[in-house]
Amino acid sequence: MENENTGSNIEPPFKFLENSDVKEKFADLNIELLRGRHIQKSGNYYLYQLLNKYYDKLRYYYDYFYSLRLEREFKDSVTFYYLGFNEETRGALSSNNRYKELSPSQTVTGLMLLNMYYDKYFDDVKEVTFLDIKKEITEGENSQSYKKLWFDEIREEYSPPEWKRVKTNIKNTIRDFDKLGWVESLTPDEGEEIRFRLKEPIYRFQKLYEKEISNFDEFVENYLLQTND
Amino acid sequence: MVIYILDSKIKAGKLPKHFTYSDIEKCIVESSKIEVGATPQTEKIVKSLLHFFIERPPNDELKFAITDYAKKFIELIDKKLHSPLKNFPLKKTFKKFTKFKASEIKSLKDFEIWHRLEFSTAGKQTIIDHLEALKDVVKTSINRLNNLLKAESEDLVTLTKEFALVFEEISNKSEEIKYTLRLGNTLSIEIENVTDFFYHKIEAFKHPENEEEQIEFEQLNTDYSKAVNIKNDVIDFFNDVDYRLKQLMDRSLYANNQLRNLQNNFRSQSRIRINLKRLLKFTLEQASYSKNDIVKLPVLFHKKALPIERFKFIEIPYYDSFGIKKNEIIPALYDREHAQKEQNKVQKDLQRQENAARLFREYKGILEKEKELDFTEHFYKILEEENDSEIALSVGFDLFQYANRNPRYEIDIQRELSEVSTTKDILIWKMKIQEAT
Repeated sequence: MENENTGSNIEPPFKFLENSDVKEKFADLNIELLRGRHIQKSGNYYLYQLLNKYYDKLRYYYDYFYSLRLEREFKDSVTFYYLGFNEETRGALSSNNRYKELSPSQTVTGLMLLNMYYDKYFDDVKEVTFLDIKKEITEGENSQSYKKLWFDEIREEYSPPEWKRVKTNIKNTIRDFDKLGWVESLTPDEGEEIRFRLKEPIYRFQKLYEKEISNFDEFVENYLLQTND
Repeated sequence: MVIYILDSKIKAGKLPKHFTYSDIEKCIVESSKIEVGATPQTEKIVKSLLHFFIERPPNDELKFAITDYAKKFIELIDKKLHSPLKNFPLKKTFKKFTKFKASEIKSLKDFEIWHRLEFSTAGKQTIIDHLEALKDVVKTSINRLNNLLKAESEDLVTLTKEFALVFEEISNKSEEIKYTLRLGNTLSIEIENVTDFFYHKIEAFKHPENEEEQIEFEQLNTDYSKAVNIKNDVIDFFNDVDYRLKQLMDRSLYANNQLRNLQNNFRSQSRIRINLKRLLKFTLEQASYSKNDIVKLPVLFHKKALPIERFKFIEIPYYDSFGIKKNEIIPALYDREHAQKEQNKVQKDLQRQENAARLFREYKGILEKEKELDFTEHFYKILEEENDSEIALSVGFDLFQYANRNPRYEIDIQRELSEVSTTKDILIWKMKIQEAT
């Protein structure tokens, strides 16, 4: 008898989808999360509120239907949410066109921006312009590697078309990161100008390489062993 | 930078007032050690400096001297770098503003003098300088902290100590500015009293009755609006200071929070930070230039994936069934029976029309010849001959229409049945057409 009473009081796990606030915003939230967007309070207030209110329920929802992990991270006093893969499976997004590997260019730029984020650790607004990136390439501690990577040779100066090629590539990466919610572009999509704000979710990049970062020496050792084989 | 070094050396007595080309050259080399980039050409720099910053002294044309303009420029930089206000108590300089009493203002001139000399030149400038000094302190402190973190120092104690000092300086400065803002409130009340004073003057003035009084009245109005403008300028200024101060406080508060966040897991954070830098360096070493893709990474390099479901909403027209339907021509089947039936119908209709027209012409002739026509009789005759009531009716209708339009005839319809009618299926009145009398 007691059990029966308890049973009838348990709310079905997806009943919350019928709540009016969920009905109103869930479609937007679902699309944004599956698109890979990281959601934080500034910029996505209503979606953030929904995630905040129904986090446990939504977490179960994505685990049940998609086998994906709805993650909540807290970085530099900011909370943000995103969908991540489980270690062993990519869940409902296993199909090739439902996930994307970061391109080499995105990987390098992402690492560069993450380092810049820490370089500006105490700045409340972490704004970056192309001049900062240019300075990093020409004068930074990894200048030689950057030059070799972006221009194929190390020189004192590079021609405007050579810079333009780099700029276009970085602009494209910034646009992709903006869609993910890692940065906030402060210039229009069209045009060459690059100016953006680094946002806390760029920390996700660090999460992606968490294992390599925590066990860096081991990672390098194994990697070099593999490449020498 | 070159000018700054030259001036410092002259002031220190290391260089004479009139210096040589080689002195400039030495300063350029010295400056290039501080600045980033390649050593610039001496000749190019001297040429550009000769425009405004150095000149040939009149009596010593082989040498150079610093211009008055350059001295002013250095003074400005010096003021910015070593602002005397950084250590100068703002409270004291600003306190005299609180001595401002509305009762001392007797005319607009007094108010304008106070605004221009005491407020704008002295007070306002002092606060702006202090604010700028505070901005510099916040900016350099944050940079210092960022650099400390960058230096891969694992010594949290040094970092915290450093920050404690910086934060103390920031909070002292901001306290002073906040104090002046509070004084600003007192000042605002006094200024409000001044504008009230000018307003009351307008109110107390009687309704102008002549030109002289009108001019005086307008003058009072102008004085009042000028006083209001001064008041607004002062209030805007304090609002602006308040806003800028808030921004600076937000920045230092954020830095303080970040330090607190760091304190909890400084060691692990520091290790992560160091390894992150090593990972960047390593990745850059592994990556290579690619003509097509810009950057290339070896296949074995760990690449990370993100869920990216591409949602595309394309509006497509609705189809009941899939596949494209061909617009085939369907040959029409010939139904002989139906066609014959339809043809007969048409033939009959045409025949009927022809017969009706023919009979109408015949009866018209009879009417013209005999001057009168008893249609009742003829109606049954037509009906009998043609075996078609439609023809009989049509002929009758046409005949009566014709007679009705023609003034030569008159129509006589008696509402009684003729004897012939009684034995027929169709009954008609007695109808007669005759020539008008």
